[in-house]
Parts: sequence; C-alpha cells; structure tokens
Amino acid sequence: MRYGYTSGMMKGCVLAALCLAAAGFSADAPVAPVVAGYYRLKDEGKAPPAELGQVLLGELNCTACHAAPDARRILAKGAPDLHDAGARITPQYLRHFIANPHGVKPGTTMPDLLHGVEAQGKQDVVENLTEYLISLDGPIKPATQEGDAVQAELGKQLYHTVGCIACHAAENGSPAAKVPSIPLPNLAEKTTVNELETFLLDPVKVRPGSRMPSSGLGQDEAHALAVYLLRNQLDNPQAALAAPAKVQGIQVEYFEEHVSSASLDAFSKLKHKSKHKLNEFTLNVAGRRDENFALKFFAVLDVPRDGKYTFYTTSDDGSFLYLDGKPVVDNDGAHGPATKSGTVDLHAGDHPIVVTFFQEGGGMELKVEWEGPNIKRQQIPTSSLYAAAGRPMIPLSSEKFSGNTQKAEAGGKAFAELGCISCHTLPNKKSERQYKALNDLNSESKSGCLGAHPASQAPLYDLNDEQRTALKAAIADKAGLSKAFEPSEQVVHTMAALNCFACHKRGNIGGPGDRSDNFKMTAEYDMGEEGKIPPLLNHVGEKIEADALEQIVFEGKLRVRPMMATRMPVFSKQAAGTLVDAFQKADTAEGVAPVAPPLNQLTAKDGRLLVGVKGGLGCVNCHGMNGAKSLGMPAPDLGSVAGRIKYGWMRKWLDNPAALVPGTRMPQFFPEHETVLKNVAGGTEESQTNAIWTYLSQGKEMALPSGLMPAGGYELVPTDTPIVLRSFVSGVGSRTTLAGFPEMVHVAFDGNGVRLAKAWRGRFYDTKSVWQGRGGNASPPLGIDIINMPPGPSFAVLENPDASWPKIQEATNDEKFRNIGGHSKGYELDKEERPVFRYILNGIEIREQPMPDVKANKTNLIRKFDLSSKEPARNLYFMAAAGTKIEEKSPGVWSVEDGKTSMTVAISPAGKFKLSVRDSDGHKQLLFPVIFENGTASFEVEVTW
Amino acid sequence: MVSTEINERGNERLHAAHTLLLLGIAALALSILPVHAGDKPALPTEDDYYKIVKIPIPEGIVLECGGMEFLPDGKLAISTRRGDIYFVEHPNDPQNVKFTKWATGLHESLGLAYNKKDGFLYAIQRGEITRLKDTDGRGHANVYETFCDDWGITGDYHEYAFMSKFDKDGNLWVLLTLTGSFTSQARFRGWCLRVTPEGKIIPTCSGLRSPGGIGFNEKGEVFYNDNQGPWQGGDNFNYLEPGKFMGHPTGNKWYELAANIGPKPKDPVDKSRIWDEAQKIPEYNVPVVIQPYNKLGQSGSSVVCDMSDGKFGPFTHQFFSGDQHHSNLLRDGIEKVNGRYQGWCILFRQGFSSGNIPAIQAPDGSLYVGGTSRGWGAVGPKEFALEHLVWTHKVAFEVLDMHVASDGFDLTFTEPVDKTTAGNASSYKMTTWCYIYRAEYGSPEVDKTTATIKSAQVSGDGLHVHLSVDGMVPGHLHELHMDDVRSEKGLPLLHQAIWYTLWQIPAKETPGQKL
Repeated sequence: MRYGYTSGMMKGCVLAALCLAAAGFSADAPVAPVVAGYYRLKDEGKAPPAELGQVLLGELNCTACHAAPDARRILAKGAPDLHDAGARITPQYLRHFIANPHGVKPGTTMPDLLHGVEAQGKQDVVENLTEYLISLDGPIKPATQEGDAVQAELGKQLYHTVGCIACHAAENGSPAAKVPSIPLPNLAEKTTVNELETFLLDPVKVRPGSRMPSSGLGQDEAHALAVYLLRNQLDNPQAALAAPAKVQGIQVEYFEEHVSSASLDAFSKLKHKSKHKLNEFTLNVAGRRDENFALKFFAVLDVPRDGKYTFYTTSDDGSFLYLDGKPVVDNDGAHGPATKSGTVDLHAGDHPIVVTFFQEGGGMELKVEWEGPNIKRQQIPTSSLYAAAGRPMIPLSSEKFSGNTQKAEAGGKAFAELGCISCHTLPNKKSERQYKALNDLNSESKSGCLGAHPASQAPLYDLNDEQRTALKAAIADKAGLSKAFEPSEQVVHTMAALNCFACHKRGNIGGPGDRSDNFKMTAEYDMGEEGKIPPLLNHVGEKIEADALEQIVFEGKLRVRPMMATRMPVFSKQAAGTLVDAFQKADTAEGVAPVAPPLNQLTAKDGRLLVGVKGGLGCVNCHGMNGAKSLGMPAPDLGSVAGRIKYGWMRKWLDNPAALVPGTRMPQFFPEHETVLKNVAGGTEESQTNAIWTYLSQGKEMALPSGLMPAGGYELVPTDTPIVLRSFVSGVGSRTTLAGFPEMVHVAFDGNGVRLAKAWRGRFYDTKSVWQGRGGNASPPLGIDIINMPPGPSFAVLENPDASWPKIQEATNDEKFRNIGGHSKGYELDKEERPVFRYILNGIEIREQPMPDVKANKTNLIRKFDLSSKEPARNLYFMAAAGTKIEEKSPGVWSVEDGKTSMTVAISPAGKFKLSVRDSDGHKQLLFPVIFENGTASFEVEVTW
Repeated sequence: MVSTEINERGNERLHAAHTLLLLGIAALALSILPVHAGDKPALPTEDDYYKIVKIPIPEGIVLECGGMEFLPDGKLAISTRRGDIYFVEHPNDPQNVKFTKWATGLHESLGLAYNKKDGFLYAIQRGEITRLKDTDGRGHANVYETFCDDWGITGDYHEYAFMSKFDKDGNLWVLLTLTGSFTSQARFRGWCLRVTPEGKIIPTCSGLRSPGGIGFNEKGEVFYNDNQGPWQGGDNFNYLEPGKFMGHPTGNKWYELAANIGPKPKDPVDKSRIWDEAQKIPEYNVPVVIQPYNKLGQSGSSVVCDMSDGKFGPFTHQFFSGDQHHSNLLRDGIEKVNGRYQGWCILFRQGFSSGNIPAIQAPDGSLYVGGTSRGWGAVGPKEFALEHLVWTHKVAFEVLDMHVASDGFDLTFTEPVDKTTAGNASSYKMTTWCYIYRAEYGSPEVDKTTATIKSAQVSGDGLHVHLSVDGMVPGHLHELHMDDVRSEKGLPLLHQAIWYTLWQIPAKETPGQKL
C-alpha cells in the first residue's frame, strides 16, 4: 500500500486483504485485477493466452479508450455510471478510493489514474474529483436506518445462502471458490444502510449493465443483508453523536394467530410473524391473511401543543388504542364496524402510541382518528407519526461535507483530462484526450498500460505477468480478435463473464466443486444434490424454449426449484443480452427436430391418467402441478412444462433421464423403450410420452390428475366420479347446482330460473368463495371454452308458434325470473353418480341428464331428456339453440354461431321432431314442439363445441 | 394463566388488559390461599360434573358442524358447512367411532331433521330444504329432492338458513338470517317460516336478525337464539309465537307477502329501550332471556331443552343454549308471568374446542356439540370439532332455578345452602341495567341501577332462598352475584352470577309458576 489514511481506512484494507488472503493472495504485493471470467477460462477452460486476453480486453474496458471497431470477441464490461455516485457513496470513501483504488479495493479493475501525480498536487486533484462527483447528485443523505446484531446475523445467513458467495468471498470458513472472489471494499465506510439496501434490492436498476445481478431479495432481506455488510457501523462511536433515528411512519407487527381480544395482555403471548413499516394505520399489510390475525402498531405521536385530545377508533373486529402506556380507546371484542373514543390531556411533544387490532373473520376495518386544539377530527396524519428507533448506522470516518463549487468545477475538468470520462461516461462530457486504436498499439511499450512501469499519463492496472502476456497475445492476434464467436464460444464467454459457472456446470467448466456444502435446501427434502445445486446447463438450449429462457435469465420468472436456497439471480439484459440466443444455437440437436403432437382431448385424457397415481406412472409422486403439492419431494411443478420445455428434449428426458442428467432421481419409465402399462394410451413409449406431453401442454388449464390435492384445498377436481354441489356461481346465480365430470366437461344448472345454464371444459370449480371465511362470494366456472345454453328456459309452453320465448335473467335476485323453466325438484344420481336434474313445468315432469362425451378435437355434451305428463301436454316447445346464425349442415345437425361461440347441435332420434329456425327477439332460435306418445317423450341433444 | 382460573370459576369474561391484570393479581392471591390454609382440597370445576369427551375426526374430514340429527338406527347424522352429511356410528365411544360420508354437495347445511313417516332425511341448505334418501342401498344418498325453496337469497354470506326438527303438526320451522346485519334484500330474509308437510310455506314470525339455532320445549313451543347486532344489545333467547315480531324491523317489508299474520307492525323508534317500544308495538315478543354480551357469550347458537328426565342431571326442561364465539353452553330457565315468558341465564359449561353451533340431546340424555370457527373466530382453538358432553352423575352446587316474586326473587339450589352465608343479605349483590334498542350495531349496558337486597330468607330444607329486593326495574336485566354464598358443605357456587331478564312482576297474590 502506498498511502496511509485514517484508522477506519486501515481497517478496510485489512479486511479486504484478509479476504484476498483466503483466496490465495498475499496482502503485500499489489493485487492484480480480479476478473472471474479470466481465471475461469484460464484454470478450467484451459484457454490459450490470446483468448484470455480477449476476456481481459472486455473486462478491463480497454476499448473504451482504444477503439476496436473490428473486434468481435470483446464483451466490454463498462464502468459504473457515476451521475448519482455522490448520492450513493460517502465523500470520505470517494476521496480514499480515487486516491488509491488498488489500496482501498485490492483486485479492483479500476485503474489508478493518479499514480504519477505528486503528493501535494494529488491531494488537490482527489479533492476536486470528489467535489465534482458529489456536485452531480450528492451528497449522500444522512443515514436513518438502525440495525442490530440479530439483523446482521440474518444478513450473514442470507449472504451465505442466496448466492452472494458465488462471486464474493465466503466469510464462514467455507472453502475458497475456484476462481478469486470479486473484492468487496470497506463498505462500512462507503455507504449507508439506506443506499445499500436500495442497491441490493435491484443492482441492475442502480447500475445498468453491471455484472452484479439481482438476487430477488425482499425488502426485509435486503435490509438485513445491508446491515450485515455494514456491520462495522454497528459500533461506530460517531453514532452516539447522531440524532436518534426518527423516521416518519409506524412500525407494525403482524401476528398470524387467532385472538379474541385486542388487549396488550392478549398480545403479550403472541409471537409476530413479520414486521413492517407503514405510513398509516391500515390493514394493508403484505402477506396478511383474511381471518384470524392480529396487528400491533407502535409509533411516537408528535403532539403539536398542550391541550385536550380525543382519539377515535373505528374497527371490525376489536381494537385498543394506548397512549403513554395507558388505554385510551377500548373498542375491544369481536364486532362489526364500531366507533369508540377516548379523551386525554396531553402536553406538546412525543408520546408513544400503540394501537392493537384483531380480526376473527368476515368484514374488517380499522380507522384511527384524533381531534384536538386546532385539529379537526381526522385520521392521524403520517407527518405526526414517527417510527421509534434507536441509533442509526453511520458510515465510518464520517465527516461534515459542505460543497465547494470551485473545486467541483476544477474536478469536472480533471475528470475529462485524466480520462475518467472514457469509462465513466457522463452526459455532455467528452474525453479531452486522444488514444491510439487497439490495432495501432505497441503492446511492448514499457511505459504503456502493459509496461512494467506505465508512464504517469497511462492508467496503472497492476496487471500480473500472465495477464500482460494474455493481453499482448490478444492484441497481436488481430485476425482472431475479428472472428465472430461461435455460439458455443459465445455461451462460454458470457457465462464466464457473468460468472454463471460459479453455480452451473456446463461441459467441463464450472459447478460448485468442493464448495457444494454452501448450497442448501429451504427445508429437508430427500432430493440430494438435485435439490441444492443449480442445474447442469449442458443441454439448456435444447431443453428450454427461448422465450422461457429470456424470462428465467432476465425477468426472474419461471423459478421451478423453490426448494433451492440459492436463488437464480436476474441479470442485466445489457450485460448478457445474447446469451439466450447463443444457447439456442449452440444446443440445437442434430437432424430434424421432432414435431410435437397437436392438442387432442382424448390423448390429453390419457396423459392425465398417466401422470396420476391411479393406473398411471405416478409422476405426481414427486412433481406438483400448478401449485398443488406433490405427494413427496418438491420436484419441478408440471404446470411449468407448457411453454418452458421443448418437446424434443421431453422425449429424450422421459426415455433416459440419467443420460441427460447423470445421477438424477428421475426414474426411467421406459426401460428398453417399453412401458409397463400396456393397456393405456396406445401402450408404447412414444404414444405415452405424447399423451403426457399433450396433457401437460395445457399448462394452467390442466385438470389435476389423480393423487393431487389442489393448492389451497378449495379446488374440486373430479377424478373417479362426478362431483355435484350447490354454490353461488357468477353468471348463473345464487341457487346453482354444479356437476363436474371426470371427463373434464362440466355443467351448471340454475335453480332460480330452473334450467341448464352453462357448460365448459378443463378445470371444474374453486370452492374458495364459499368455503373460505364466511363464504358469501360467487365465483365463476374455472375452466375454458365456456358456452351458454340458449337464453331463457329450455322448455316453454307457447300459445302459438310465433309467441316470444320467456326470459330469464342470469344471476339475478329478481323474483320475477324465478321458476320460469319450471319448479326445481333437485336431482337424482344414477349408478355412475351422474346427476339427473328434475323439474316440473305445467305439470310435466322433466328429467334432464347432461353427459359428457369426449371427442378428439371437440367437446361434446349430450343432454338426455325424458318427459312425462299425466295430462295431455300441448304446445310444449324445446329450444335447442339460439344465436346470430343457425344453419342445417346435414339432416338433423345444425351449426350455430353466437358471438364468439360456435357449436353444432344435433337432435336424436333424427327426424322425429319438426325443427325450425325462427327470428325472434333479434336472434335466431332453433325450436321444435315436443311430441308425446302415451304421456312420455324422450330425446337427446348433442352439443359440440 | 391466571385468567383461565377466573374463567373456570365461571366469572365473566374479562378482556381489557388493565382490568385483567388487576383482577389477575387478586385471583392469584386467592388461588394461593388454600395452600396456606393447609389441607383443603382444590375447588371442584365444571369438569367434575360434566366431562367434554373429544370425538376424534379422521384426517381428511372437514367437519364444520352445521346440523345434527339422530337416526332410527342410533347413528348420529351431522351436516356440515361444506355441505356433506356424515353418519357417525358409536359417537359415544371414541375408540370405535366411525364416520361415513352419506351425502355431499349441499350449500352450507345448518339443520337436519329425520322424518319417520317418509324415511327421508331433511337437510336445509342456504337456498332450500332438500330431502335425501338412499333408495338403492348404495350406502349414500342418491335422491336429493327439493322440498321447499320458496324464499329469497342474494348470495350474501350472511344469508344463512337454520331449520328445526318436525313439530307435532309435521311442519319444519325455517329461520332466515338477514342480508348482512342491516338489510333484507330478498324475500323473507329476517323471517321465520313454517314449511308444511306439502312443502308450502307459512310466514310465521318477523323481526329475526341472525339466528344461530332453534329448539322445542317440552310443550312443543319453539325457541331460538338470535345474535347481538343492530336492534340487539345482547344475544336474545326468543319465543317464536306465530304472528309475532322479534325485534329487528328491517325484514318487515315482507308483511306484504304475509297476509296470514296481519298488517305490518309499527316500526320501533331508534335509540329507545325495548321496554318502551314493547308498550307501543303489541306484536313485539320481547326476548324471553337476554344473554349479556361478552359476559356469558356473544353469538348464541343451539337451543336444546333438557328432555332427559334426570338422565343428564337435575335441569329437566331447562335449556342448554350454545355460544359459538365463547365455545360454551349456557343454561336458560323460563317461567310464565302474567301470561308472558321471561327467565334467566347462567353459565353451564365452558371449554369446548371450537365455535359451538349445533347441539343435540342423545336418547341417553348426554349432549353432542359440534363446532366451527371458520369466518367467526371462537375461543376454542380448533377450526372444527365434535364433542360429547357427559354427566358424571355428580351434582354441582348451583342455582337450580330462579323465579320472580312480587317483592323479589326466589332461588332454588341443587343442594342445601349454608344458612349463615346464604341467609345473609350482604352475600348477594344485584345491579340492573338494559341495552339501548337501536339500529346501530350492539349496545353498551345503560340505565344502571343498584337493587337493594333487604333480606335473604332460607327455607327449612335449605334448598330455597327468598330474596326480598328493593328497586326491581321491569325491562332490565337483573345481574345477581352470589360470591359469598356457601353450600352446607362449605363450597361456593360453581357459577356465582345469574342474569334474570325482568318484564313482568307478579301481583302479590300470584307466586311464580312453580316453586
């Protein structure tokens, strides 16, 4: 180290040096730039020097100065955008880092630009640059966040599990990574918890184009991790002088328990599930359930002046308001919305306020108001509430900073003159220096960047000899540098640059090696390494659809391995944009890709059987589906197959999983290409794989297979026998009978209007709306392809053939639409437990049985009618269809269009009834008079859509 | 911990932290006393007299109990809020109890009644009474026949329907909860209907708010529990006399469809007192017993009249009244004074596992109690439960009965009292109060007075005490605390407070109905 600074500074250096020592470096010698991709390709990829040089040219951002328009193998890293650096970084750190980047952050890729400047002049330049950077958007706001050892410990756990140590040094004695770790400087001096938390939540947003990805941290996690990384601030003596942390807002504890009193005593036994900071007294707490929970709000109330204050609470269920530890408003007990008040004399100043609230079930509400001298009755404003807090965490070596415009101006000039601007681009600022193009460089110059002693104008990187050799080789191999990457090379270079290899193995490179102990599961599952170690990426382009891969890498979606404690991060598109395309090209299998079979309902039905446990292969023993948990380990959710997995890979995977992923726990279902289930779905490997594929291709619309219970426990899935139940159904009404069939065609019968109202396909019905909480909500059918039966009743007595058809309004409570189709007599279940609906119209007993009939590409529903009448039944008509267009396609078969729906309707026995299409009420209606023989009539209507 | 002890002694529910703390310290001091006194055994608890036996529910069955009925073969049928009907064999034997799902797919079924004449099991759903039968011996119902669906339902969560057993005329009594707490948006919400054997409705009583259970007394008269809310400061135990109004006026618009019971009564005046409004509204059947809110319960449910003739203890023809929130049973006693029912309530048994909704008395006299706390939390911690309440054949020192006299109250005890403490007027404390009769939700206790116990005369056999009282207030609950009364054996009362809802005071010559 060439310069000494304050003791805080020393502490940072020692810390950083220790980390580096762990990674095999000596603290004494200057540390060469740590470039993960370079070491990865050198040590594991055995790449030749010229190729390693190409990596360094990108990582050290050489082309920012030395233009290389022909180079096609440089993945330039870029440098942080400094326009808001002054708002994120403390003045003392900027000062120290600019003066001595390699001492403050050994291993940094930032060159020392001031190595040739004399001591006195240097101090001025450093000061000016610091002033300049801070003048742009700074200085950093005073720290307000507090922290404690518990949070630091939580942060430490996160640091060592979510994935930080893939790139940064482990601090728990775990073995060193295979490549040197990206150094962390003395963060406790550099920034505040506030800023670091914001950065950690979304590094890509704060530093676009950065190699550092986002780890999908929640707010609380980002806070804990920031406290851990800045833990040296916890005992910063400077904090004692700072004002106590006083942040506007309310601290809230959330309890997921049933209590029936809001008294503090009742709360004293509870353990909170989560803590939050809110700006008002509200029930909008993240992650809260709707019943049996409780909340405790506490804050400091800033009372503006002495006087009499009245506090009001309106709550459902109960609440208490305490001031200065004494109960002021007792609104306790389980009840509907009720307002209570209490009046107290208060002195101006701070008064601790606590509001407790509990909810048992049903409606809920909380409003907290006050009125007092010059304060009209109103909700207590956020401006009067402070979250009580301890001492904030103050960055080490903090100094008072008062900007100096002149210095900042001089710093701005220096920023351009010194060449900082070449890497750290800023709007309206250009480099004032000219550099040679890459091709024209004399890489043997002793005083250049690559020389042993760079001249004072040249940046000092502290490169080691191997790095110099590599760079020289790359510059010398002009032809090599201008040759575009093969897709496979593109993959390797991008994965090396982003350090994907720290977790993922592909080919011979990467993977956790002897650090696999650092990879954990979120709970104990019998999944071995497959549950801990991120997946092998050998065939990823062949396996994953490009759109899905985009979502995985850049959007943080499609996380199918929630059991893994290590989180797949979200990368900057700017930094890794070509990766997905490269995967797709590099991994394209030879020959013609197999074509996925088209959707066929019969095949899908077979697939459902195969995936299930009853008579199937039992995929759901390990795999869940659309949130429904598997019967055993949490292998990837099968609901994510559609749109993510490619058909060709699925074929190979089901044929021989271990050939693709050695050591996988996925069993081989078709040994020797044979199936054990000869009587299902064609009985061959191909036919069964296709059936599974067809079924899984329905994604979110899949009806669950046998064995799985729907997530949440409220969705009903008919697997063996039909399910019949009454419910509130949107679009049908308050007296609906639903019938769900294992064939996954379902109907809804409206008991108010008394008629069959709807039919649909796919999933059946979610009872959450009626089985959760107080259960007074209507929910719609769950599936797809929902069709409405003709409007109005199925049958009507018409005075003459032109009389208009009676009307039924859907989902109404209007009594005038009740019993238009007859009087409901409920239903009976046949031997297969299928319902036969019974209703009586004008003394005629009507029995209607809806029965599904699955065909390959269409959904069919057969409505079977048996009518009987003691009296002669006259003028009874049946409406078979209604729509905008009705045509007879073939004898007895009619095509019907109605808005977006089109269907065919066939009546059997054909020819028995005289069907006719008429125009009535603005649409076409297909009707026929029902003919009775010996007091009975029977017919079937087949609806296909 | 300390608060549990208070509760087990049967004192009122205490909820404010500060009060609880103070009393808790007092209770702690009391609980230490026997230790210092030496050999005195711990005081008996409810559990010594009535045991709650938990019936194990097989995994996978969500038994959110709604209705119960005994079948001719002795099985206990239970309908659930998720719409299943289970047949339970050997419910009195937890080792051998067996559940069979007999029907499914009903909509929140809160009542079952078996009809011996036609062999159907009648179940009420939100929208209808359905009668069910297994006609082909499959072991579960295959006929789900709509018996009566002649009332309105909007889809609001609050629109529940409860149902009685068959009355002596073969009718079923249906109680239709209001739409929400405040409105009646569909036909006959807030009404009691009778449904004839032909499935036709007879509008019977108006003014219902949120019933929780219904039952008959030994004469076949019908009573139900209604829940605290608008126009109801406490939980009301009401007498369903055909043609009468029960107190919540919102549903009265349906009188236009109820010509059989005459014109719509006058609306009560908001923020008044029941007593005052009852003078002006002749159709108003005031609550027989008002169960004090929070002190005994806060959501009244089942009504079971003890018809066991002594097989379940000494409380023949008294009522066991469930409370969903407090997970307890109260005991209600009624008497007719000046031709009108009125009476008292006292805590009977606490500590059920979930929110009590249905209860039924078995042929052996024991009670089965079913619970659910979904949507409405309960003191009992379980989401749902089925429990068997069994008498141990020991009788606690309790108030057996309470009657109003022209100059006070007559108390009867289950065993002879200690004449010194029971004969001392200062062993009794009586306050009186009422609720505001108002459209707003619930009510505080208001118009409080202290009644003076002038004397307490113990009968020769020690079983009766006549309290001579100054300051009885018609229209008020009379809250009587007897903490210092001891039995001849030296025990305090198992439940030391009783609430008498006073409407009528007999003339001097007319003693209470029976003594």
